[in-house]
Amino acid sequence: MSESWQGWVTGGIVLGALIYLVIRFFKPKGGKGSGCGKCSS
Amino acid sequence: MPAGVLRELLVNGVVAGVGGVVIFLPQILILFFFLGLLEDSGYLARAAFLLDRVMHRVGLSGKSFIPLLSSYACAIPGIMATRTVEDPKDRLTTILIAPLMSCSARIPVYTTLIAAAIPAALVPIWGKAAAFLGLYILGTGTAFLLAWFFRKKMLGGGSPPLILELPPYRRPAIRSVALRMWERAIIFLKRAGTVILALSILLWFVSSFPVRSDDPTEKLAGSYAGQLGHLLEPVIRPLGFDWRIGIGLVGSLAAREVFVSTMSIVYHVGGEEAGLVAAMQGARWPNGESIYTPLTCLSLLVFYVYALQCLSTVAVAKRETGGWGWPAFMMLYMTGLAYGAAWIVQIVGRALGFS
Repeated sequence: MSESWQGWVTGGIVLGALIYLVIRFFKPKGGKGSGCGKCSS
Repeated sequence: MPAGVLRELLVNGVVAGVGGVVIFLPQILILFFFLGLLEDSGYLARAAFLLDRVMHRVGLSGKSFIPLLSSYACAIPGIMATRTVEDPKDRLTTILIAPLMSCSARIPVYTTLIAAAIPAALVPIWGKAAAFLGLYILGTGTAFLLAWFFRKKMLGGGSPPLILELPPYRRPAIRSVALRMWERAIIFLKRAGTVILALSILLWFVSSFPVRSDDPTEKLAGSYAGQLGHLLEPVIRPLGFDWRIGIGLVGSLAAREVFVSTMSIVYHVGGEEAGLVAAMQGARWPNGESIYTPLTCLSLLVFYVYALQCLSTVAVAKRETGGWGWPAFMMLYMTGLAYGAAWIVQIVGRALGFS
């Protein structure tokens, strides 16, 4: 039972991480304040 | 929390991955403290002026000095600072060599590999410090050589004279330096909590599934990451790297410091540097020989000095050069240089009798 809910939550977290990275690196950028976010410039 | 896949994700993915990088925050803050002192004292403009003659020898002007110095912290503000360089060819050359300056993201990789290569009992701490400094000198020296090639041979033309307004010397304000360190710490932790966290979760997933065995080594070998590592092994074997290092190289394509997270996940150690170093020192080839010999660690260090393992740098270079051509060239020449140099280290090392 515990394994089952943990599997669902883990799957959600992994999928969320994947979606986040795709948006983070492949979202079109442009304009002021659209930097990489790594530096404060 | 009961034993299960979520607990494994939290312990072996999140804590090992993010923790493995976050423990390097103090070292990175020391770097920013000294850079902050230099910046705040008004010395940087003078240094640019003093170095103008040296920079001219490689075809650049003193104005390229500040972007290059900023690149020791991070290549992204360094590349953005090239906007102050008026000459387009000088600016392009500075952008092309900026990622060769050893940035703060390389500190975790350098520290871990130097610790794995040089046993603490054999070499005093200054020996490790000298090795660390040597990597910075290697990156900087190569950057200047390549600047000469790019600016004088590839792009051609002369460099304009340097005209600078020198600010007065000031006593650095501790508050201002502390504020800059605080900002940097927040940026570093934010990055660890977002990109590195997400990459660690994915790396844990690809190094844990599909489950084909209960034995940790066989489980990793059969995972998606293990299969990819084995696929890469013939390419990286001449450099002395095994398939697990291959996983680390692929994992750190987006950000260099992820190499440490990946290795922590691969070797199933928590976020402690000592645990990872011990695991790396204990790693063996199937024939029982050590994988992380001083020669292999040196190869790997040289690889990381030169390789452009940072997607954010590629993105900002694309924005600053106005297209994909130069970032693609940057990626190609740096990867080729990293591979070639690491291979030469292996060849020369073996010829000298090291294994």
